[in-house]
Amino acid sequence: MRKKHLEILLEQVCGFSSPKPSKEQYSTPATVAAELLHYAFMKGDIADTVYDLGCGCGILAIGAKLLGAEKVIGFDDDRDALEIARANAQKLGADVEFVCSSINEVRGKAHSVVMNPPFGAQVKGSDRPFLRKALELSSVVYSIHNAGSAEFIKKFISPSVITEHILIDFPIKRTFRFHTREVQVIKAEIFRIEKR
Amino acid sequence: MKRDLMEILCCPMCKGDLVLEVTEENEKEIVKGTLFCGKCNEYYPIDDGIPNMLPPELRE
Repeated sequence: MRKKHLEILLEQVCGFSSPKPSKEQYSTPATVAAELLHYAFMKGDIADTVYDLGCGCGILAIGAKLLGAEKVIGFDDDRDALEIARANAQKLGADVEFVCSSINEVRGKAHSVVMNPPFGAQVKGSDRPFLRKALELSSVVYSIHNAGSAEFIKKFISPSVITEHILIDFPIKRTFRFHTREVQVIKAEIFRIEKR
Repeated sequence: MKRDLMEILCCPMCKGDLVLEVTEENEKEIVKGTLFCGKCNEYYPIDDGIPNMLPPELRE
């Protein structure tokens, strides 16, 4: 599947109905999701079992399934978001499982984890449990962070390593009252991390 | 949820095994039911095919 085609499909994914600021619940834009997933696909990492940690409305999980992953499970601790995620998956004909769970309690083994964790803008360090858990569950992790996070991530995940990172535009639609613009484009980076 | 999801689910409090009870199932998956932890005497609901593994105090 071409990246543009995936992006068009993922545009159909609905976002949060009542986003919670403390969880930084803004949706992953279809452009960003398609970029991450297509990249992972080209690296051969969308295969076998794929987990999406903090899946929210399910865009990465659904996209991974559309790209042919055998088994995809999305985890989130927000039951309301998962209901939207399930409806999204049904709409797109993607056979994805969703589990309501704290990220720290997720079990199992995956070939890869794809995720867009909170950047830690509201609660500092909130991306850490995601990185820690992702590396416990899988050998390859794709994760989106603020641009300029490379040094922190490198230290935090050691002895695991960042093999690649791509700078991207991340448009955030006005989601919360403290957002002043309709769409604000921030610089973010997609990291590919290998467990060592 | 499909039955094989049981392989990765455990009680969030004691990490012990859970007993599945199905109330509604279609050809694809379990739609409604419960997961029971005998040790903690706690039920985790499955609704609309989504197992809710949050401890009771964290459920909304």
